[in-house]
Amino acid sequence: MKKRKIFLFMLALFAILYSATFVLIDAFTNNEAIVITASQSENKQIQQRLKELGYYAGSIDGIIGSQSLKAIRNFQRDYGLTVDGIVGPKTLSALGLSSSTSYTSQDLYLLAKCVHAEARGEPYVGQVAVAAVILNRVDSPEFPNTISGVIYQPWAFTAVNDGQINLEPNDSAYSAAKDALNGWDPTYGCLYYYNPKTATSEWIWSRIPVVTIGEHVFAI
Amino acid sequence: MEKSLKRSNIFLIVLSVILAIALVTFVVLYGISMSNQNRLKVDLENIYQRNYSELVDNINNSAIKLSKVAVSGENAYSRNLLNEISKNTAQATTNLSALPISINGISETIKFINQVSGYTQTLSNKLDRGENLTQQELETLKQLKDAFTTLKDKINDMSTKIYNGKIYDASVAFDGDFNKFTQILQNLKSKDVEYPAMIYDGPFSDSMVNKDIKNMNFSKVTSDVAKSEILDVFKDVDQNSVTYLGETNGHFKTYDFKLIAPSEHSMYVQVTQNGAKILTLSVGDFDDTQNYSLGTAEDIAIKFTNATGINEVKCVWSDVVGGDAYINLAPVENCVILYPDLVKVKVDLNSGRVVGFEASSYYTNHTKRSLKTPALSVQSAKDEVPSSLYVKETRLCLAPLEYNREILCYENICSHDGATYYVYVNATDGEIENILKVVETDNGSLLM
Repeated sequence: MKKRKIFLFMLALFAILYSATFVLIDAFTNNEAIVITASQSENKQIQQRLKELGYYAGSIDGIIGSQSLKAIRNFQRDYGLTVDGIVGPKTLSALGLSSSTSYTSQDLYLLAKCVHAEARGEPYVGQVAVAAVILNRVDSPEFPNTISGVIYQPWAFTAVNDGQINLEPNDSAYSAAKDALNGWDPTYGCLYYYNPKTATSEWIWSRIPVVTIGEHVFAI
Repeated sequence: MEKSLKRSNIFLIVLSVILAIALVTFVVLYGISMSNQNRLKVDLENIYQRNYSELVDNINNSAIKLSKVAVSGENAYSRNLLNEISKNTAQATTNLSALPISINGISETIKFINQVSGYTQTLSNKLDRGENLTQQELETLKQLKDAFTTLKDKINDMSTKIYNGKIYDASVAFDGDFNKFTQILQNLKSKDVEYPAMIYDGPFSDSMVNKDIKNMNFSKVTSDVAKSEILDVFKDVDQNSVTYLGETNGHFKTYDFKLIAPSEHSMYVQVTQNGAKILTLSVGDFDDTQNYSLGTAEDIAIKFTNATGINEVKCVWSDVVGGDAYINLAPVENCVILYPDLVKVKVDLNSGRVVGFEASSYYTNHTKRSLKTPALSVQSAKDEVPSSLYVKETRLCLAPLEYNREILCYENICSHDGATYYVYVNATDGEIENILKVVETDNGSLLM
């Protein structure tokens, strides 16, 4: 009887350890890399330029793989830039490829991703409104001055914090982002929105509500 | 009996071995996981520290350069310094926004730094045009120098506090709405730092945020009147499908409605509380089928715009993206296209229905203007266009330039190397005010 108990106890312990190990293995294999996405044509330009400068020997396919990444890092090292493998404005300009301050299709993609992550269950106009808030923040002195700066501002959007931003946007999110870039703003200048059912920050209640669309209250 | 006892012993031994292996695997994986986590934490901390150091550098540099401007008295040198201050402060904002600051915890400081960037850029442009700084502007610069010197001292004091601790640790410790790191930064704006007001028309100026609405001199109506206006414009919509959603009390004050189109799409319409004007319409429609041509869509857009009460508009730009036509309409006065008063319409090429309408620029800017007669002839305007460009068409327009400026220009539509460029030549002095390039993307054309 006693042996049976020991046997059962060990079996239970084994089951726990076994599943815990799998959780850990899963955590390793599913570790999503943080990729700074650029369009394939931009990537091709970068590869072309790196090839011309003798840093890259691979094919110009627009896919930033380990070989391209190595080339970018080597280039950054030689040119006294921060060696992070990320092609930001400084690296672009050192490569002789300038980044434009106007809105690009990369901005559209990023905006669509944020709209999808933040408001995919919302009515269409609520999605346009979320995109408009992001653009209003770009224009506001109180926030960063680029779309990516606003979206990736720490703790600004829950969907960025929990990684939902990396989901592929659907047609609705794309269309909403396009409308907002084209000047649609159903909130007329709002800088904030919150879901009154789930908002935890007390501070957000101090904002002046302008309009409620779907589940979100938009405020200035 | 003995046999079964033996068998259970073997079971137990096998199980113990498996258990031991599982335990070792677990411990090893746990160890690797922890070291990975630590590595990521160190990486993140390093990024934070780099941004913090750059922030300190940029604030220090701005403070020193502001002191130099105050004593310079030489326009060319001041212009360069102001330009550099603008860049340093813009970079400081980028550094600040890369740090783990709780949203809106230090918005006043960010606003101040952003405005200094806009202000110094505006002054630098002014000197570039050959103008001098006014006494008032010199006085503001002096106040900015004082504010920045205090800011610099405070931020330098703070570095010791932050370097003792870790930014990452300070960022994940929350006290109320703001994390500890934000609270440390909030000390930047204590009572003894006065942020001077900057009066200018430039990036991030208050005048850009609070634009006046010029064309809303109508009396206030009830939501019922607004609803009947909707039924007047959307004649094929069942009136029982119109639901009143509430009000928007922002820059524009509107009554908001949801209605169901015959195609069963739900439409969101905002009608102004003053004068019951249809201000925006948004419909989620993602059908790529195209039954209507772009030309027909332009006619549909103009007809719809006229029905909302905006007349004498002409199509100035159109593009097909997916199954929708994006059409920009502008009023034309004495053959001058009024770009500031743009009305944007989106037409679904499958159903031929208007699925997007945006007239807030029209109501914000449209007013009776006294347009000057251009001093420059069409030919002289064409001559001002760079010779590498081939001019296809020239037309007069009122161009909205940055910071609420409206300038009478000749718009030259040009081509070069297969690309289209729009060159705006000032109709009074022949200066090139702006050049836009049409960039074709997978998502339609962009004007950049």
